[in-house]
This record gives sequence, C-alpha cells and structure tokens, in this order.
Amino acid sequence: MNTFRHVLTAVQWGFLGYFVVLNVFYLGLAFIAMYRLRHYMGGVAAAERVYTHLQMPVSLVVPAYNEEGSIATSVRALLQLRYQHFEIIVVNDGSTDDTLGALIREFELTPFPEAYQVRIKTRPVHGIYRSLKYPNLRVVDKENGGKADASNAGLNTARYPIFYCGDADSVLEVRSLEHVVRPFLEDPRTVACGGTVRIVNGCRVRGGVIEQVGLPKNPLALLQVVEYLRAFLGGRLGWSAINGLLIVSGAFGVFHRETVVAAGGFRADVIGEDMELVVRLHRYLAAQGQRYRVSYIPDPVCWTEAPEDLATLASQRKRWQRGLGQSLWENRGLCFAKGSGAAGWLAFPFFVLFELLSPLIEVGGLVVMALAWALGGMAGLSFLAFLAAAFALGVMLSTTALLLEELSFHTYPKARHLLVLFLVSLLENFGYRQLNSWWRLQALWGWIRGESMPWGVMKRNASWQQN
Amino acid sequence: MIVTLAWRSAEVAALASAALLLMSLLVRRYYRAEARRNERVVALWRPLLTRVALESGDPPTLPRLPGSNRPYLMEEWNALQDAVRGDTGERLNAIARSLGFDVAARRYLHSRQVGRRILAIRTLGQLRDPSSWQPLQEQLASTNSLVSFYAAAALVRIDAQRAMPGIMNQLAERESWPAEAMARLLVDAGADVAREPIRALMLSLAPAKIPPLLPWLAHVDAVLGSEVAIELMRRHANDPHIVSAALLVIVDPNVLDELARFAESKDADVRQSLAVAYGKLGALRDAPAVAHLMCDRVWWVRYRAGQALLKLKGMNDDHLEAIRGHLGDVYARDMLEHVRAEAASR
Repeated sequence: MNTFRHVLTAVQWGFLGYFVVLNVFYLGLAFIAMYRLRHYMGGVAAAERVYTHLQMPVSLVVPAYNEEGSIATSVRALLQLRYQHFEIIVVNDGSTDDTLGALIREFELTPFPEAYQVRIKTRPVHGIYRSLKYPNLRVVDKENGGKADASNAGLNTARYPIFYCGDADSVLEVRSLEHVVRPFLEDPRTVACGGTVRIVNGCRVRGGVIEQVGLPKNPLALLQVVEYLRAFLGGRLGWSAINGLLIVSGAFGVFHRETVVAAGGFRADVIGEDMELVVRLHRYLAAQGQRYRVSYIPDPVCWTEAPEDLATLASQRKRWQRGLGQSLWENRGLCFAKGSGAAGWLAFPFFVLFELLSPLIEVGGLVVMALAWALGGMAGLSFLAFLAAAFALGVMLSTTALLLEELSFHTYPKARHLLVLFLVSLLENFGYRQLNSWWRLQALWGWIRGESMPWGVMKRNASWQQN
Repeated sequence: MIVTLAWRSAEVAALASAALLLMSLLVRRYYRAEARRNERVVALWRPLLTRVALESGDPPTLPRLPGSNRPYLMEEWNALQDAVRGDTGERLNAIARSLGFDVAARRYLHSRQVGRRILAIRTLGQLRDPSSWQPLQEQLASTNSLVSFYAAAALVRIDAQRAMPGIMNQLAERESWPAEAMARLLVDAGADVAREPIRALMLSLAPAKIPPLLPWLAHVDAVLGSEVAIELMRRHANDPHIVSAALLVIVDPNVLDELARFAESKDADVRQSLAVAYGKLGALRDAPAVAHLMCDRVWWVRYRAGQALLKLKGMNDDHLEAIRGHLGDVYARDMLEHVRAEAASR
C-alpha cells in the first residue's frame, strides 16, 4: 500500500509539475507577446505612413477542389484586395464538379500558351488559362493531387518574389497584403509570415468583405473563438518574437518563393503541409547556416469558418494532431541542431512535450487521478484540487489572450463580447478541453500505429455570407 | 503538501484571471475614452488650423489646450503639415510654437512609447528647429528602424546637407531601412544634395553591402545610379551579386557591348539581369544575343529574355516571326509563344 501511495504521489507531482511548467511557459510567451504588441501598436500608424506606398508584388496561390458554387465569389473577393501589385493563380486540383467551367464563364478565361516551368514536381498540368477581364488572374488546371500538390503547381506558375497560400473559402481583410508584406520589407531575411486568423462564424460578410464583426451563436464555434485568440495572439506572437514560430496557418501564410522552392515546396505526403513546410524551412535554413526570420503580425488578416458540429470538429482536430506529429517527426533533425536557435532548442522540444504529448498527459492524468480516487488512494478533495488547478491555469491563459486582444485591435466591438468570451473560457473546461484531448489522443495513437487517415470533408455552413 | 500546492495554484490562477479580466475591461474603456477625446480635439481644432493654413494675417485667438490633449492635436497638425507647402507651413509652425509643441516634442523624445517618440520626431522635423539637431541625431542611431527612419527624415528637413554624413553612415550599417521610402525622401530634399555623398558611400562600401543599395541609388538618381553601377561592375566583375544588381540599374545603352560577356556567366541571376538590361536598352541588332539567352537552361532567364526580345527597339511581329523561325530550341519557341500571348493579353 505504501508503494502505491509513493507512486501515486510521484504521479501527482509529475502531473502538477507538467501543468505548472506548461502554463508558466505559455504565460511567459503571452508576456513576450504583450511587450511586442506594445511596440507594434505604438508604431503601427507611423509604419503605415512609411510602408503604404512600398509594396512588393505578391502571387496569391489558391488551390480549389470541387468549389463550383463558391469559387467565383472567392476569386472576386481576392480581386478586391487593396494592393497594387498582385496576381491570382487559382489551381483547379482535378475537381470532379464544374469548378473550371464556373471560372471560365465568370472571368472569361482563355487558354494560355504558358511555358510551364516544373521547378517542383506535381501531378500533370492539363492547361493554363488567363482571364480576359482581369490580366492578373490565371487558372492552372491539373490532375488531382491534393492541396499541397496544387499549391506546388501554383508555386511553379508564380511570377512574384513572395506568394500567399491559403484556402479558397477564407475571407481576407482588404488590407491584409499590405500588412503581411511589411515584415519582408522591414527585414529582407524574412522567409515566411503569418497573421492572426479569426473565426468568421457570427460575422456578416458581403461580397467577400467583413461588414460586421460578431460572435457565433453556435456554442462549438464560440468555444473556438477563444481557442484561436489564445493560439494566435498569445502563442504565435510570442514565438515569433524569438524566431521560434513553427506554425504559419494554412488559412493564411505568405512565403518567400525561392526559399520555399529551394526547400522542396509543399509535401503532398503529409497531412499538415503548412506546418511541415515551416518546420522544414527552419531545418533547411539552419542547416545552410543562413540567417532568416519567420515572422508573425498580430493584425487580423483572415477570417475562417469554424466547424459547428462535433464530427467535423473531431476530424479537423485529429488532422491537426496527426499533422503536428508528422511535421515534428519528419523534421526531427531540427531538434537541438547547431545554429537552429530558438526554433530548434526551445520551440521544437516544447512542441513535442507540451503540444504533441499533451493529450497523453492530460487524458492520462485525468484517468489516473480518477482511478486513484475511485480506489480510495486519493481523497475527493485532493482530486478536486488538481482539477481546479488545471482549470484555473487554463482560464488564466485564455483571459491573458483576451487582454492581448484588447491591447491590440479590439476586434469585438462590444464589452458584452468580452464578457461572453470570458464565460466561454470558463465553460470550455467542462467537457470541451477534455473532448479535444481525447480526439488528439486518438489521432496520436493512430499515427503511432501507422493507420492511414482519410481527409474527411469539412462541412461548410457559410451562414455568415450575404449575397 | 502537493494538494495544498494545487489549491494555491488554483487560487492564484483564479485571482490572476479576475485581475486580467478587469484589466481587459479597463483597457477597453481607456481606448474608448481616448478615441472620444481625439474626436473632440479634432472637432475643435481642425477648423482653426485650417483657417490658419488658408488665411494670412493675424492668427485667430486659440482656445486653451490641456496638456493631455496635446498629442492628439500634434497628430492633426502633422497631418496638415504633410499636406501643405511654403508660407502655409510657416504659419502652422508659428501656431505650433505658441502652443509649446517644440518643448513638448523634445520631452516626448524620451517617451518609452514608440508612437509618441515618432510623433515627437515628426513634429521637430516639421518645425525645422536647429536646436533639436542633437536629440534627433541620437534618435537616428536608434535600434528601432522606424524611429531612425523618421529621425533621418526630420534631419533632412532641417538641413539636408548637414544630415548627409550621418544618414550615409546609417545606410552603410542598416539593412532594415525602407530603401525606397528613403530614396523618395532624398529626392524630395533635392537629389543634388545627396549625389556626391551617395557616390562616395557606394564606392567605399564592402562588396557584400553593395547589391541591396544599388536599386535604392537608382531610385534617388537613375543616371548617377547607372554611372556608379558601371564603375562597380567593372571593379567587381567576378562578383555575381554585384554584377547582377548593377545590370538592373544601368541605363546607358553605350555599354551594352561590354555587358554581352555576361551571357556566359555561370550565375543564372547574372544572365537573367543581362536579359532585363537588353530589354531596357537594346535594339534590333541585339536580337541574336537575346535569342541566345532564350535557349538558356534556366526558365527565368528564358522568360526575361523573351520579354526583352519584345521590348527591343524596332521589334515588330515580322521580326519576331523571323526570329521564331530561326530558334532551334523548342523551349525557346515555347517561351516566345508564352511572352507574346502574355503581352497580347495586357
């Protein structure tokens, strides 16, 4: 019995220590983010005056698969972006519906005798079209190969030094490109830059432009608003300040074309191709001994739809977890690599311990504690104390993200929004976080066992879209 | 003990959460109040400042300006100053001095807020106050590139000639200044002032620093940029980075024959830049050289050569057809089709 108690005490110390270290680390990142934000916001108007007229040309690469109904709206929204020099390359990734036909009709596409350059190998390209209405719009029609393959075909066609890669159904802020190229102008060593992605559910969008910001009514989407704030404003801003950012969101990322080509482009055989690319860029550039930056701007640049049902959310979270595992495993050479700086010495081990393995610890911790309590090895009050610590630390992190939001762009216009989000950060501890950990644990287990993972269909509601 | 620690952690975190929520609400309230105050200042002062700007003669009686409102008015005043020229600016400066902007701006220079510091620098630059020279020089050396950029702009406004040595030193050291904006600033100040210091700087720089500054120099003065580029290209003919950058800014067609040797460079960037140079400066007689580049193994060289071919002085469809007939390389022919279709769709 004594041994059981010793083991239990050790396990308890382990779990408590893990949670405290995890939260203290995140809190540290949030404080770094706060410091960075203070400087950023102080100079944002001054920077705009200097940089508004300086614009690097950007290629927008938009992979599309079976988006017959929405592709024209998405492209029209992109054409409205407030930016001088950009081209749009839509890549029709072997759609089985009439996506290509919709594009041809809407934008008066005509076949173009492009001398297509295969810098990154992709599935065969059937043809390239150019719009007679919009000279900066081209469409690549190719055999189906997935988003990464389509992005690579777009990259082969891109003319400009930096390129944006995102989802066709994301809503971009009209000035997003102006903001996101700034790090490339400020520091020529910048190879990638991400920005804050927000949840579009609950907002009103007309013609691809956000008209009114609001909170979603769907509870699942609402829970994700807090998650996104925490992840983007707290985590990514903090990591980017020390050049340890390993993730640039697949919904919105801008990259230096030549560096990405040199690193081999997007990998079609991994699930989280966006994260994998960024981790690989770190590994590749560190190995080359090159000085570089992966940047992040806190400006809200992109709005994306959050899943509103459990099945879609579960599938998304499993994909993310699997993608995380693959990205870290495939680029394990980055860990503690010479010259890899914060990315290899801090961010990589952190992601392994506190992101990849966190579902194991969280679910394992809950199960062990519950078992110990059920078997009488632990008092009910002690069990409650551990739960309270885990919950309260989680709420503290979420509230820090709310403060960061208020210090930066205070996107949500009403004080009521803030209070609702605080309430959500309390409620997410009662089931939502545990469910997330469970899905991620399943994905982790499946990945370790080498199970294949279907892409699944992301169910879109698009109730926010006004015609 | 561990249970007590867990409870304490929970308590601390819960208290911290409540405090953070309160702070968030206060921050929101503060920003709201600030926005309202700004609106009030603008509503009261914009008509007055506009009157001062538009009408010569005695300035109107000004209302009292509380110190807390001064930064908002300074922003408004700077925006108006950016939009006016000549005597109007002087009248606005007189008003600013009577409102104590010069003294306040010198105080703001020590602010920890970047925005406030930049506001101060802009104000001192607009006021063209020589007594601010030393504090602005200190800001020029700031690690924050925006602060140093604005300080450079302010110094140029006060005395462009005197500002040049300090700015040139910074240019040689910094990689983070927005080069095009800097070029615009020097052009506005009068490129004559900058010509000689820039030439001296460029010719004395270490080779690694030259390529990013050459395009910038061409923005300041295209002819000077070309002269310096030719000189640097001759000096560093074996440095592909310098040659590649130089080829892009040369505007003297007389050196085209001298450039032709770079067609055999091992560096694709050099060959690509050469193609661009042909497009900018070349004529029909250069068509064979450009056609040769269209057979390059690198796509971008073929693409730029194709574009150059279309731009050669005197080029027309008949010539293009003739050239197409002589192109033995299938990739070169494809590229010619590509660039012709591209040009037709513009």
